[in-house]
Parts: sequence; structure tokens; C-alpha cells
Amino acid sequence: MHIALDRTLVLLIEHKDLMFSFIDYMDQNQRKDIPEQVFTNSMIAKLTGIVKRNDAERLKDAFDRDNLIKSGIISEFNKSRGTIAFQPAVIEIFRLFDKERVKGLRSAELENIRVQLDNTLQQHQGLSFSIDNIAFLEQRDHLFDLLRQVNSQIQNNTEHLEHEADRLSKRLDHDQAILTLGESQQVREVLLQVKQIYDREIIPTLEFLNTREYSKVKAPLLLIDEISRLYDIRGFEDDSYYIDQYKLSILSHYKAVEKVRQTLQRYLHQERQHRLTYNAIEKAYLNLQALAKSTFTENLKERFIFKLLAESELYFKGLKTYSSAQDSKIEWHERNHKLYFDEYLIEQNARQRSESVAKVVSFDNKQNPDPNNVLKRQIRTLIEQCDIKPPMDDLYAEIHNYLVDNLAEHYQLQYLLYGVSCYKQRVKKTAKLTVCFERPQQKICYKNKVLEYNKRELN
Amino acid sequence: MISNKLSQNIYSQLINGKAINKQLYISKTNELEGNSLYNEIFNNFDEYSILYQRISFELVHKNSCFFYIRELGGEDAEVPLTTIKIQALLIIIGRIITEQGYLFDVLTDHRAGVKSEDLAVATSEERYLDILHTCKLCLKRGIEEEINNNLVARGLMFVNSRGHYVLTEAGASFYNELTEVQ
Repeated sequence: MHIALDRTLVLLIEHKDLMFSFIDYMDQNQRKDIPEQVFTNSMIAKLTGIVKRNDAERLKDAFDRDNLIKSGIISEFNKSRGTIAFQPAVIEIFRLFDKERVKGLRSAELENIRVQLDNTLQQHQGLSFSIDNIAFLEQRDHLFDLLRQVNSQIQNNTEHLEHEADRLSKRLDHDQAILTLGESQQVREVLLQVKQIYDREIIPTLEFLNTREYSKVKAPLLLIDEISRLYDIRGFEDDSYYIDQYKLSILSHYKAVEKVRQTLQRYLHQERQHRLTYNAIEKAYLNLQALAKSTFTENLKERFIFKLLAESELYFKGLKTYSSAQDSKIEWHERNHKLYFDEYLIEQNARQRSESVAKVVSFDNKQNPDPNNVLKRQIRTLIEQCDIKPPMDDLYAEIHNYLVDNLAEHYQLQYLLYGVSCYKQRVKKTAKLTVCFERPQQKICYKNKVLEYNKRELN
Repeated sequence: MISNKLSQNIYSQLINGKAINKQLYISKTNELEGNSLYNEIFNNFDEYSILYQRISFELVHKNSCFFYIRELGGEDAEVPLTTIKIQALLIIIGRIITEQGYLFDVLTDHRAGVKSEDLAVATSEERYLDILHTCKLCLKRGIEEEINNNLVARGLMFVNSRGHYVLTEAGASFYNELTEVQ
């Protein structure tokens, strides 16, 4: 069943998503046609999604491959390659429905326009300008067609670039931070797209629209200028005026494209920064890898990179190595710590000769118990048996005198602290101990040692 | 005027080879805050500089964002194993991220960061492992432990509230310098 072109087109427009999917496939794969399989699969998917039976039947007939060929929507069906190509004009119509799918002009297309304009100029230069000259009239028609086409293409291109800049900016300027590697990968891809559009579409367009820059080949707008001048000289002022109007119309897009360029500049800088970081890391990595390889010997123990990596290349050169022994332990208190001073035992003249007479001692193999423990036990017993009772003016002095009397030559000043501690234990429930902070502190000197302490009164 | 409390804390960090960064990560709020230790050194730099000079260290202020101390006259001493380990680890982490097409910013954003599993490729691929072994890294420990010992313990990386590794200013400045040299 054959359905007319207009009705088929209307149905296609009503179901734009189908054509959009074909356009997307072609753009993504940079092709001008689609495989027959893709066409069939998309068609089946579309038809199965339609609930009403009548509608489905209608679409099935309209979107039938043979019907599309007959109506001229499919311009080429290559059986051997299994590909389908749509009429370019139809594709262009659908691109216009969605700005995102409008194709920008790239270097090759812009160059093609320039060549066409150059050819037109050459053709005009060899013509005699007369309304009776059919060749001239044909060339004039062709020129205006071309100017109209260029103007429309540049306009579409500008809209496409503005839309792309807007789309990419929105994707890059979202408020959410990049929190995952996946998100970062997407942002990086968008940045690459920015770079691609900038290099392949924006810069060529700006060059195309630039009338000032000197180049070996004539700029397109200068070519239009020359054609306009030809018409003017040969007495076709009206045509010359219209040509100038076209030129101005084309040129008016320069500002818009320049604005797009400035919008994308920021992201381009960001992309450049990433590229530089990437290159720098890559270079450092390759250098490190080369050093690691060059240290390779059969003896694995010798495989160290150390001597090869120049110290000047080390960023944290001389960084202090970790040392657990160097933890600082001193605590500084904001209050006067002197008030909390307990006792200081000072060694006096440590090198002074012992006053006692040298005695001959003999060694035996038996292990002696720690003399300090024996002495401590003795001190504890002595303190328990002593009859020192409160009140007393200076506990330290009392205990010291008592221990000197009872321990004789075994006594040393450091044992006084133990003695005091034992005595405190003994009387803690019955007596009250008061510390007196006096300057200078109390002192006891005994056998080259001095004990400085705060007096304790016992009541 | 040097503060006793802060100077003690600063000493404790610097003497153990830790960098003092301009900003400090607070895991409770998941935000960065100004580091009082950095400000203390910055405001009394001359005094601190002389103080450390007297105990044969140079107080280094790098990239206007972190301090660390280096031993004076240590050039002729043994091979700087610690710094080589740090540099190798940073290069390999950076390479893993950039090679896979990720944005480098993930490593520097305190809310983002990378999981240790993302860096596991360092010990699973021979090309990285060769370098790490040559630098005496990952011989017995995993990459996570090496990062903790060599980067986190030294204030070059921190672990954020999501458990991800993030570069501190000191760590990030290494990459900045790499890029500038280029």
C-alpha cells in the first residue's frame, strides 16, 4: 500500500523520535547512512510501543521501507551493503526541529563554501554583465542562491554553537560537587567536547567571518566584497546593494560566535589545566619507570632506585624522617607549676670520693636479692614500730632523723621519700597533713645529696 | 609571641616529619578549616625559624601553603628513602587517576577523594608494582598501608568522612610544581 509523501512526512513529524534516533545514530557513528538492521529494529520498537491497533497499522504502512523509497524519503537503499540513506533535505528538516541536532559547520564545509564563492567570482569576472546574457542571468541566480544558503547555514551554525555552549556550560556549572570518579569522568568528557567544538567549529567559523586577517587564500567575505564591487562597477547597483546586505547579515554572526568563544574560554582553560597536569604526571611517571628499569640487575636486593633519583628532583627534599623517640612529652600548664613542686633530689659532687674506708669484698655465685627491696621492707617495719606521733612541725625532718638513727650506713636520702610515704599510710586516718609553701624551700643534706621539699606539718 | 602550647604541638608534628598545612580537614563537619598551627608559625616565622635552626633544622615554607622541616647539612647523609617513597607514591596515584580518564580534581576536593580500592591497581599491575618494589614500597604491605604510613601520617593526604583519600595542600602542591616545571 502506497502512502503519499505529504502524509508520510506528517506521520514522521508526528513521531519525530524515530527520525531523531536515526540522526543520532548517524552523528554518533559519523555516517551518512544507517544499517538496515538499525532501521528495522527501531521500527519494530516503535510499532510495539503503540497501543492503538489502527494507529499501529497506519504507521506500519507509512514507515514501510518500500513506501519510504517510493515517496522519496529514503534516497538510497544499498542491498549489498545493507544500508539505508535518507534524503538530505528530510534530515535537515528534522535537525531544525531540535537545536541540539543541528549540525555545525566544520572546517571542510566552510572551506567548501569559500571555494564556491571563489568560483562564482571567477565566473563573474569572465562574464559580460547584461540582462540579455543568459549565462550572466544564470550566474546571478546561482550567486543569490549561494548567498541565501550561506546566510542560512551561518545562522543555523550560530544557533547551534550558542545552544552547545549553553548545554555544555549547564553540565559543567552544576552546583553539585564532583564526588565520584564516574562523575569526574563525565565532566572530563564534557571538557573534551568543549575543546572539540572550540577547535573544530568556533575557530574555523571565526576565521571564516574574519575580514581583516591576511591569508594566502582570500577570506569568503572579501570574495563577496569583490563580487559586489563587480556588480557596482558594471552598473548593477541594486544587485550590489543586496549582495552587501547579505555580507552584512553573514558578518553580523561574528559577535555572537565571539561571545560563544568567550563563554567557552573558561572551560577551555580548565581543560588545558587538566591536560597539563596529565602530561606532567605522565612525564614524571615515565621518568620513574625508566629509572626503575635501569636499576634492574639479577640481584633483586640491589634493585633500588635511590642513587639514580637526583636529590634536586625530590619535592620534599630533606623531609624529616619519622622518629617515635622524639615525641614531646613535656606538659606546660598555664598555672604556676612551682606551687606543685614536690621534692627535688640533687646529687652533690657526685665524683667526690666516698668517705668510707675501702673494704675488701668477695664475690660468690649465689644471686643476691635486690638490696633495695630488703631495705624497703626494713624501712616499712621501722616506720610501723616507731613512736613518732603528731603534732609535728616538719614530718620530713622527723622521719629523716629517725631513719638515720636506725639504718645507719645503709640509709640514703632517697629512702626518706619511701619512709614518709609509709608513715602517711600509717596515720592517714588519724592525723591531718598540711603542706607549707615557703621560699626558700626546706633542705636536708645528707651524704652528698640534697633534698629540697615543701614542709609538711602534721596535726 | 610564641605560644607554648602550640609550639609544643608544632614541634611534635614537625620533628616526626609531618607537614603543617594551611587548612585542616574536620571530619565532623566535612569541611576545611584554618589550621591554628600553621597560623602560629606564619605569624612568628622568624622566631620559629631561628628556634629550629638552633637544633639544626631548616623550617621550610613551600608554595605558601605548608611548613615542614629539613635537616641542615643532611645532603651528604644517607639516601633520602622517605622522600623517594613519597614521590613515587604520589606519581603513581596521580597516574592511576589521570590514565583512567578521571578528573584530577577528585583527588583534591575534600568532599570527594578516592577509595583505596580505586588505587588497588597499583599492586595488581606489574608496571606499577615494579616501580613500587624498586622504591622499597609494597614489599610486604598493601597500597593502603603504604599510603597511610607515607602520605597520611605525613600530612600529605587525609581520609575524609567517606573514608576516601584526599590530597592536602602539601600533597597537591607537589603536582602543581610538576605542572609548572612542564
